[in-house]
Amino acid sequence: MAAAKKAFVMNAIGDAAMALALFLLIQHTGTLEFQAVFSKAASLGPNTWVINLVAAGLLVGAIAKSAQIPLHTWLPDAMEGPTPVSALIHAATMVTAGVYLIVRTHPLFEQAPHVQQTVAGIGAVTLLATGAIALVQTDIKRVIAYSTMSQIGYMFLAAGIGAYSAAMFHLVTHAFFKALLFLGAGVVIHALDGEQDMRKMGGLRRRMPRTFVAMLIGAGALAGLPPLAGFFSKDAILATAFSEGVYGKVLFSAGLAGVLLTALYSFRLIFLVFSGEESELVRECLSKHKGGEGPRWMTAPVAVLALLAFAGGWLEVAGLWHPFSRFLEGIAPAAIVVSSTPAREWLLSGVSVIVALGGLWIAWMIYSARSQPAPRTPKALIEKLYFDRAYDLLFYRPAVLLAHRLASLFEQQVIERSVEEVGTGALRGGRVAAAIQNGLARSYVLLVAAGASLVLLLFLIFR
Amino acid sequence: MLTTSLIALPLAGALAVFLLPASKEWVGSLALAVALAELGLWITGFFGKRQFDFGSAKIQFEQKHAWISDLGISYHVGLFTFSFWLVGLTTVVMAAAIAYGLWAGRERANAYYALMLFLTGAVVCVFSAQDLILFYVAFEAMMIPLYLLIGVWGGERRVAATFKFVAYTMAGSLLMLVTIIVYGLSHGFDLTTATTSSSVWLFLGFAIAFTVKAPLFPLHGWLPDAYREAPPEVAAVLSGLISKVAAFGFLRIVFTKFPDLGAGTPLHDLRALFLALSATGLIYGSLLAFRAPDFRGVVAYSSLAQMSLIGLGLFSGGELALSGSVLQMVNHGLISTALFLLAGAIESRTSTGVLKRLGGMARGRPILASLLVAIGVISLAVPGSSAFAGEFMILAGTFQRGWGWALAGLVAIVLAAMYMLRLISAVLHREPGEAVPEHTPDLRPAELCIVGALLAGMLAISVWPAGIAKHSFACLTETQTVSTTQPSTPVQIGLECVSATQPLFGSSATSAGVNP
Repeated sequence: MAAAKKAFVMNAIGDAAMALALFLLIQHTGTLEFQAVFSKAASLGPNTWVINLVAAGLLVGAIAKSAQIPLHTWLPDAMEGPTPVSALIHAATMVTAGVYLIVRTHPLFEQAPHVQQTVAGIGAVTLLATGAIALVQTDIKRVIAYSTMSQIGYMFLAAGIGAYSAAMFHLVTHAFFKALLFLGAGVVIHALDGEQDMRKMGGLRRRMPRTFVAMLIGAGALAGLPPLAGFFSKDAILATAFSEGVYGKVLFSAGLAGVLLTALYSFRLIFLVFSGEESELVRECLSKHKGGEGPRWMTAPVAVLALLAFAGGWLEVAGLWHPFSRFLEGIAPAAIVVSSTPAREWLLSGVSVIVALGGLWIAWMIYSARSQPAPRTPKALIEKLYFDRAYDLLFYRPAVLLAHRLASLFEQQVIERSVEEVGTGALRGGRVAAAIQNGLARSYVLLVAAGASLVLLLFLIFR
Repeated sequence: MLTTSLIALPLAGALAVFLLPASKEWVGSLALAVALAELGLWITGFFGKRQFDFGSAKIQFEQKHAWISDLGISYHVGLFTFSFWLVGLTTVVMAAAIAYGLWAGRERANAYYALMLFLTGAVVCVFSAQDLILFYVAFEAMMIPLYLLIGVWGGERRVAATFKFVAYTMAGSLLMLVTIIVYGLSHGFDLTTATTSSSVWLFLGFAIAFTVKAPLFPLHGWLPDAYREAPPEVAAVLSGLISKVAAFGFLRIVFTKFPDLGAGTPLHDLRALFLALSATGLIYGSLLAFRAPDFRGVVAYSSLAQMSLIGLGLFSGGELALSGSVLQMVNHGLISTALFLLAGAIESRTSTGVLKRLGGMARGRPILASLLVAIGVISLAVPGSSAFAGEFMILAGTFQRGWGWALAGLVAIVLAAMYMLRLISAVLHREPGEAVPEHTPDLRPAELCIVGALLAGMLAISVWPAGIAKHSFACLTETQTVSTTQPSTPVQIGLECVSATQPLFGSSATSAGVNP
């Protein structure tokens, strides 16, 4: 329940910011219809404070919804829900709504270039930070949750440099392989009687071979290995970033470092869960369940998703065919021009694949072959970069304290006391007035009339 | 005729109920029948040969008879479009409250139900009065049953609560009486013909009286005790209905008789003050709701916050904010009635409303849990809900008056999520509280029917908020200058034919902005 509250409040913050943007739009364009707003966007911008505020408000809304830094802390906690719900809502569809929002309203962002650069920057920071946090998580679902934030970081990065169709493409392929990973993790958790701690797992590849293959496809797609889905979409983003000047080069390097992190944490997951010796827990649980991988209605969707994660990326191959970008042309004019220098394309792809393989190799060395000792995990990463603690200290506690102070000092001391003072005053006055209380209705009426006329008189004087 | 019938039916019912020599069940049933007939009577306003015309600028179902002709005082009633909705709210809330009273089996039934029906008639009369003296008489007539209902049927500390309530409202009422006399003698008592005024004192006289009744910060001292000590259905009426009377007073009297005609007119000069009080009350109420130790405390302070929000909308003026305010009045009327009745249902099972002693009530009680979650989520204005539509319109309108005021509203939206979720989770989740007996029953069918009907109303408005928002201000006959989009050029809209101005929430934009 605490997680639900946190998710709700964080999203309420996003809603509030977004509402502010909408209010500005109503005030300055008189409408909220997409097309009408876009056609008037040019008259608002470029780079005026109005359009910057509108874009910033929409951005905060998108950040909260898509769990990007700094409004990201609700997503991992929301993994308390049942696994299929996590897969559907928190990985594949709902959280990517922020990306959709930015892409859908891109004419506004284009009038606010600084905000749009911020979008890309936030994406880059998030993909690095959450990728790093994912490395130290021990809960299998939390690893996937942090990887979701990291992958949405790529989408933000793409949207921030104007590669809208690349962002949407990654959104689609991500939905395939992330849902696959979640459901695969669900199968594993189910087989292990609800255990989610990866440190207690190991050696599952022999007991659950089909799940192993499916998860391998998911992890490979996530890490961007060809010919799996993630390779094509991530490549499109990195290539566009590289061709976007100095800022683009910086973003490209962040994205490339992210590729290394992605390969590291996704294969860390695979190796911890599936390779090595069978752990005590695995032996205990799987000797009970004879089937191992669970009933068919549970594995069938995993198989379908594995197929999509494998081949979903072929929807669009840079330089060869672009049905996906064509499909989006009406909403997001695509930058298909990237393919002008095929040699550079190939080079960039090669670099990112090599980096991903490097990540895989390191993960193998540490977690599977165990030829390297596992590095000491930095405290900052375990504390999730201190965001939760900072929010608690900066916002939650002051709000609670303020509420308590207001209640005890102002509400009780001033507002409620004032009536009581009037009450005791009235009682004291009542003793005097008791003399007048002679029980004659006539004199009461007289007094009331006298009082009312006094007020009346005052009114006439001060009118 | 309809208006007079709407006033007369509950009054006649009150008399009949008072005299009926029967058991409390029979008396209560008769009262409920009258309340439902009243609701049905209101619904006939939608149909038939003489149906209510939402596009009309004029007063409808009007009736006028001379009363004290020397002073131009008359029995003059009639309904504007927004008053029609408020009368509808009255019939719904009172029917729900009487039904709950019947279910709870209130003692001294003749007096109890007679007072409830009398209250119904008085409130309808307030919402339809077109004469200041009649307005005042109905306003006072409305207070008397409330004093008695709290003072006789209330909780342990009912006497103190009643005293505070009487002290505050009597002060407000006397101020209003004097103001009405002074105003009426020079400008006329009939609201449809009375001339406008620019006197700061008269403005303040009305404004303070209504501020006490709403209540708005800082004149809300009577609120926490009255809402806690009244029987739950009376608390529901207080917060759901009576608070709207004040908002109505602002709309019908203050804004039309003291129009903003630029510097020197009180509404223009003091608007910032009232906006500031509303914004303060909004945040203040939300914060106090967040730390309130009991169910009713949370709802009471959230009520203060919601009335402040409506105040923000009213004092912002303009088409969006005003129609949003009317929509929100109806929303909040339904929501807070339902919440207080749920509070009553819970208190009758656990004999406490203290959140620390509650908890874990969701397990095995699906009806209670579903209703509380649904109504709670609507009340925190989740997008798609009726309250969201109302708050969005109010704040969008407020934003055009000044972005800072809307910012306060947005902060309050976040706080609303915090206090409502705290309430829901404290009652329903965690371990079962010490005050929750193991076999505490779920809501009974009767309770489900009452609260469920209110929820159905909220859902209906959620589906089509424009049904009320777009049909609130065909017109008042008076005009008022309100500067909207461009503060430099005053536009004649105000209460005048607001729906005829720019179609900001026209059929197409509604789907984008308010009703996803």
